[in-house]
Amino acid sequence: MQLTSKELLYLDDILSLQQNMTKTLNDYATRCQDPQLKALCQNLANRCQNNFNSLLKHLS
Amino acid sequence: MYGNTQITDKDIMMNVLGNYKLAIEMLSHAAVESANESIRREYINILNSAFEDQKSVWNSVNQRGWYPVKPAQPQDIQEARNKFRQPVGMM
Repeated sequence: MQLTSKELLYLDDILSLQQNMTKTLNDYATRCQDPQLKALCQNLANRCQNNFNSLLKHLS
Repeated sequence: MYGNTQITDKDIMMNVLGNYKLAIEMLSHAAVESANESIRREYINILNSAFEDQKSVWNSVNQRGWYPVKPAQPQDIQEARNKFRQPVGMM
């Protein structure tokens, strides 16, 4: 099904956000001193990457 | 460039929490504005997982004392209760 112009604007914004969160969380995982927080950031980065991948399918 | 200022674990996690608050708002708006049912459902799924992730972050900062919360004052609760009390026999 074809995207509406509004859907495309939101999709673009949310893909950017998920991509930025993935990068940021991966970087934070290397910076955190607390091993629990390090693991949490790593885990959240993976989840953001998965969200990004699922959303990207709607552009094809 | 930031001098000697070191980014702490607290700074990092508060930043992550802010990102989740933003993501949840954006996903909610996107779902509301979607005409396409499959993309709408996708947003709602991602929104649900974002709520879970936001709670994990919130728990981790709250446990470390970086996001303290305090109970409402009993007199303020009573005040709200009085404000919303329905008069008997009136609707």
